[in-house]
Amino acid sequence: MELRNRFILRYTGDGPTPAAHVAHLRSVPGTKVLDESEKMLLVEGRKRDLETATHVLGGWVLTAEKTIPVPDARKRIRNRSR
Amino acid sequence: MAKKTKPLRFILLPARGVQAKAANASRMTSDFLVTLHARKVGAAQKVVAAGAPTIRVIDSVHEDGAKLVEMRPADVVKLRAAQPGLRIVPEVFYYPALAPRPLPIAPPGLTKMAKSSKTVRAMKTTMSLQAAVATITVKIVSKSGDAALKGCKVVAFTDFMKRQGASGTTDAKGVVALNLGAASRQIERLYIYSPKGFWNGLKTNVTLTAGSMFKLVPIDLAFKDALRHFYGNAAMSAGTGVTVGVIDTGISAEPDLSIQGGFNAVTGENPTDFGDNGEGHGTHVAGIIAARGTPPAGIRGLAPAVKLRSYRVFGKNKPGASNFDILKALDRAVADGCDLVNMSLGSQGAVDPATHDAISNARARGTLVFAASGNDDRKPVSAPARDPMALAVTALGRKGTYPPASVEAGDVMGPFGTDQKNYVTSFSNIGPEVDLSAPGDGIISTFPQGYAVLDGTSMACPAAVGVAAQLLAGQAKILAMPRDQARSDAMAKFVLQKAKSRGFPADLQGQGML
Repeated sequence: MELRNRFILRYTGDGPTPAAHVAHLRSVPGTKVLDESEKMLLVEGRKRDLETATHVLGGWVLTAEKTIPVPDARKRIRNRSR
Repeated sequence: MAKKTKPLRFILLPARGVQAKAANASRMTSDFLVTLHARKVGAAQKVVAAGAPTIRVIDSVHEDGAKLVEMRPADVVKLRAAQPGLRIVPEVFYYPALAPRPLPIAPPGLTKMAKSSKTVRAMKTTMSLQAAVATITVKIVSKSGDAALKGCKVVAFTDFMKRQGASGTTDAKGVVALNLGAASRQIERLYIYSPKGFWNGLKTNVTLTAGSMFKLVPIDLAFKDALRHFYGNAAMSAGTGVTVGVIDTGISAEPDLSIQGGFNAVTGENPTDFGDNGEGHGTHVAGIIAARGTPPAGIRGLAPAVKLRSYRVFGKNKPGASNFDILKALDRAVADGCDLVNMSLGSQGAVDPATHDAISNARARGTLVFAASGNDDRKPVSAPARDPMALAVTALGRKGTYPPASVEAGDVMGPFGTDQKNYVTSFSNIGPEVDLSAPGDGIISTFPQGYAVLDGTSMACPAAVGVAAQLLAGQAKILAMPRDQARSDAMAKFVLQKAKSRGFPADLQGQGML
């Protein structure tokens, strides 16, 4: 399930994530950083603004955050009996 | 026997980018792409050694760059085994994005009727009155001592193909009321899933009436399930020198498990809380790889001597795992020096670019990623398993490795293997991305405060990882290689070449079973 307005920004370039890039992405208007790791930022913001920012910087990919359930091979009812 | 299919077009690429460079491809991959360049637009040629696939090079972007080739889908698996650092993606064509035409979503008349709120209220009242007299109570007990079993999920299908029926969970008295619309009902399939400690039950073509009672068989840890049928009980030293990361619901501290460390990647939770979130899925997966018990007092995994690490991505009281947390966990597992990573999770759809980068990054740093093909009843392989740099695993089952009236009997589906008792489970997702198959039907393993039987490609994936760890433990030269793409390519090549066909088509078994 895709989450509205939440995106993963992942640095795909060689070497460590440039601090200037991260600062630039943090400063995109309307963007809130929810979590971060060595190569990624989890942000809430407008997709178009983030796409523009990552395009300008280069070396970043943008992906919508989504959630997946715990795998379960058990059979389920799709339609109730009448 | 696999059918001969028509050749299709694929694009061959290095792990990342479109041109092989030291940072994104091993020497083996680079040399292979250069070799193909010289054969551009040639007749079909054997490209590797005897028994290797026949491919035709249609076009080449650069000497060591992308190649457009033609080959049979069944040969994709062979090529991936021979050249594990190669990304093999189908050629895709795009078309104008025309808006879909609207279709009716309900039969004529129903929409009009639903517009009248008075009619809807009347219908609801009638339905609730009918429901009160139309439930059937069913009781679930243990086959050993008739104790009532609480928390069992009972799923009664009146029409299994349409997945039509009713379901519920037993109370403290082992009783559940099923709203089946009648006081007595013919049930095509009745599934009974216990939370733990018992084999899950399946009854076919039964008539349910008030007070129907069913018994579940308790787990005997000495029972020879599919895992033990194929692999027996591993030596306690199996897997020495190999570090395995499990990205899942976390791993519970159980007597049979030794967890070396880990990380909780769930945003907002304590990073050091990498124990099981209560679902038990990760604990079961971990036991298949590395449980250190001895039956009948405990259970033994396939590589008890591995260094087991837990990376939790499913939160507590959260509906699912975020792809951000999964990628964070994968990056961390790579940084922690995991040789193999188990990802028994996924969803239908394409691999997103961030996930592809994280898996490619793992491979570029010498880590091999295994992922479950998914449990959507033979739909296409899920993401991330379908990523060209991950090893996708389907679930194999074997008749006779579970009690007769168990749910696993409902997972049997053809075509059957060379040994007619073997089958690829009906729930496994399949396709040309499949690399391996492994036992995943009716598997006994560790569970929070006990043991459970689970089915799924989630169980097959750690079975493949466990055997891969056993095999790699004996490959000191490979394990000692610098942690780069060449190392993960060498591990993948070694593992895939150890797989043996069980007689299924390649899109079901990949290279076969380890």
